[in-house]
Amino acid sequence: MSSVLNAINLRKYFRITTGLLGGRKYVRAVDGVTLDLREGEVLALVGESGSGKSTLGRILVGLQRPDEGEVLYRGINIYSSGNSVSKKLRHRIQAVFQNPDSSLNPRMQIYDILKEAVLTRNPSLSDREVIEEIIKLLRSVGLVEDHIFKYPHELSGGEKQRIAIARALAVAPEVLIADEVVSALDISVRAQVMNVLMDVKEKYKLSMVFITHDMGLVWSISDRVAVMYLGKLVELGPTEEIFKEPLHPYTKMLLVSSPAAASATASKDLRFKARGEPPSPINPPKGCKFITRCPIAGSECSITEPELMEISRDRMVSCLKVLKI
Amino acid sequence: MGEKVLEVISLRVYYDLPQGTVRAVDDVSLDVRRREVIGIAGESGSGKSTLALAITGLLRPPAKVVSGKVLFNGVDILRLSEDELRRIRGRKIGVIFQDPNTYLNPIYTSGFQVAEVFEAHRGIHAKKYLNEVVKLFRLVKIADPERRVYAYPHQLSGGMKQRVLISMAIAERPDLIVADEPTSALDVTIQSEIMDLLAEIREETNTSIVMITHDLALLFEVADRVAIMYAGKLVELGRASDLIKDPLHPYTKALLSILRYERKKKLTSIPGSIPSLINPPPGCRFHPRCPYAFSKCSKIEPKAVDIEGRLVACHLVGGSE
Amino acid sequence: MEDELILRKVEEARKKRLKEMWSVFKNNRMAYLASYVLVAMYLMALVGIFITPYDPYDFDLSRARQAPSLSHPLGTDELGRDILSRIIAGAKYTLGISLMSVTIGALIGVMLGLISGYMGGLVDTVIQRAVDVALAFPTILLAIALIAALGQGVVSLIIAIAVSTFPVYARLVRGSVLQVINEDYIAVVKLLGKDPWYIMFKHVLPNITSPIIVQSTYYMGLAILLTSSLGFLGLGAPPPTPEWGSMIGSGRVYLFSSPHIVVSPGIFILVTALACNLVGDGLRDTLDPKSRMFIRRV
Repeated sequence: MSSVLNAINLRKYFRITTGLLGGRKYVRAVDGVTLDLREGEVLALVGESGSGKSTLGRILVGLQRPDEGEVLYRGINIYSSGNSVSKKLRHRIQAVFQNPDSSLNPRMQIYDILKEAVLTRNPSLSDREVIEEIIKLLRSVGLVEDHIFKYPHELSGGEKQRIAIARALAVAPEVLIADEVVSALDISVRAQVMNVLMDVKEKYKLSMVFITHDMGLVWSISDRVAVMYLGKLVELGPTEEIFKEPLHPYTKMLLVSSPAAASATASKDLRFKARGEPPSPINPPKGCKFITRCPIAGSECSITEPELMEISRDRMVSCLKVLKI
Repeated sequence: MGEKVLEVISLRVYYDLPQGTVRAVDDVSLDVRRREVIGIAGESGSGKSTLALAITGLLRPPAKVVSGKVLFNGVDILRLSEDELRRIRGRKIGVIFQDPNTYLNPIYTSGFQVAEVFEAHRGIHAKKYLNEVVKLFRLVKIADPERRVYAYPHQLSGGMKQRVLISMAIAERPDLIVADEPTSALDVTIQSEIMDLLAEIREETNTSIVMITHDLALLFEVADRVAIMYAGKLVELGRASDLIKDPLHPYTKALLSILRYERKKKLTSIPGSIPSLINPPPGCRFHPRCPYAFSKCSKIEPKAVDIEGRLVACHLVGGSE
Repeated sequence: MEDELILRKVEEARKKRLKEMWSVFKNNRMAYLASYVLVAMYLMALVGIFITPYDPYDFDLSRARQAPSLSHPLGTDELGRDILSRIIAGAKYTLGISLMSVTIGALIGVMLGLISGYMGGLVDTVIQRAVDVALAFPTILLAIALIAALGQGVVSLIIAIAVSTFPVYARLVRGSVLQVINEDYIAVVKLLGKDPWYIMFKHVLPNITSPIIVQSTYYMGLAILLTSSLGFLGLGAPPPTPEWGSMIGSGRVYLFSSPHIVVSPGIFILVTALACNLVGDGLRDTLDPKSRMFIRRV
């Protein structure tokens, strides 16, 4: 299987200014991440607040230029031309975001929103052809044409997210970054939108990065999982293997804490019940960043920072305790 | 368990809005027993938040209580004056809200704000109670409590802020704690810790806890009994362990099957959407989306029936009328 | 559904939205009334010169300082000119000058605010510091200094007031822009590959019009006061222009002996400025989404 997207050693630091005389402090939102998105797969990107998953998502989709590293789309560096992605590649990678109230321009009707996207792909379409295209897009996300003349505030959260998906599809992308797309929706609506998302992924043959903190959804739809903690990748591998046998202590902690994952995981290792506080992102501890919460941390963990290494076929972990075995 | 701390009897709370009357809580009855943790689950538009406000005596216009009672230790708190309510709130009923950022004042230290609870109920200036606050902080597992009492909210993490709110709620050792979405704004690992903390508090004190949330899966980890609300109605109420094994109401069944995430299978979804509370569907409010609905469902509202300790409101289960 | 039907329904929905906004505005009785007053004043400014009962410039010292009577409903001024005619004729100066200056100030200020807020970085810093400097000057002083430099006249007046108003627009717009660019729909348009100018005008600007419109109506009132103040000080349009402020200025000496000379223009200034403010309040309530939606959690 070939890789559609390749992220190589990405780093993005945000500067925090503290007071008049304060020195320059940085939040290491993404701190050396390398991963790939394979053709046709759903890669789940998991983490909690401060993990950097949303920033990574924005870097992958081309909205945030990394300080270091590259993002390659089928071998081409998407950031090669100046600050934004080159025109030719621009429509290949699209995104849908979390907040349904913020995804759509409140001043535009659905017709205008979708027309804009449709005409971007094909500026020479006539009014009639534009409408046909819009209706096709609405149907593929399970909506009816009555929605065309509505304004966003007249739609429910689930409908708005579906329009956001439809708009992303309008430019015929190959890669879709879905950033917490159902986290703000009710449970029953969540299911509807997830089904639409998966239908669309199959029908349009998309490769998808699914950013979430909900392990249940990860179990349901993903092929591989990438777990992030404080800007770094701590575990990466096929979903079934990771759920059956999680290696990194943080992954174990996530699975133990997620009630939704209960059905999927093997037994719960209660040593890894959630404890401790995540460290300050500005002043992280020396060595492994998970040390403040890790039940199996040893003395070596506070000295050396672990690297992401391959432990078996297609599985990578970054933990000194695990890699020693 | 056994003795009832709280009893909600046929409560109806409506909102008078220009676009119509919103029947937010429409004839809901339930009880909370001593030392139990009861979860109230529902999606948006279920009425659970309004129910939370009613139980804590925090309803404000345009909300109005149309009928029903809320008995706390036998006294109807809906009929109490603001003064009398104030004596109960914080002392006998503790409240934990959702977003610690909104409920903590950024210009006062966390310790001071908790001490204010003591001041409100015992008089004397808040500063005198700092020692007690440190003890409370230790109880809610805030690390380094002697220092943290002087910390401002922005210096604390989300999990810690929520623990501060919890300490405010349990300060006066209340009989009942009402937690309205206490962990929805938190990460899942922190959420898990807070849930453990609440379970510990229940063990060590005699408090009953009412936990209101949209996260049904969370409730099954921690609640003794669970109530499911839909469109202003109580559709099912029973022991958590029973409910999860054998849900009776179609809505409960649907929710539970959505949460049973299966690998690479389409998620069971419920067709349609949550109805408007201004113009709810006639008969059973769930009938337009129910796969088992038959003719009676669209005409007559099902009454809650007791089946071996389980309360269900569905024509298919037990009798009706 | 037929394509033409769809397009028609799109239009209908758009018009319906505007109608809804208008009816919300109408609910505010004061604002509704005030808007009619404003329309009347502007009409007067437009066609005034044709409906004056007397020639506003025709003076006759023998008729000077007559109290209001049937032949001269508002009396005559110190040079014997009919005050009513002068007020009608003067409307176009007071209102025209304030309208022009606020429009120019708004155009400049909105552009600066948009660019400053959207581009950020060095551009933002430079523009904001310039705005800081402009805001540091007391408005009247700045206006006086500019008129002294540019010489007296309508054009100088317009420039002076425009310069006084653009900084606030720049600040206001920048603030709104900063809020809007965090929204996801802006990020999504970038994903379509649109350039910054397209995004600024097609997506950001329409979402920040409410504060701009409200500010403009308030500024209209302020500009009217500013224009008349400068006219009162003798720095406005040169005599014998019947600008309302100048009328008060030249009639000031007779404040106690013939108060009607000063009172009439004063009342017109007051009413017009007040009407602007009331309309501004009404627009703010109409356009501010917070006042429309209330109960969310049920």
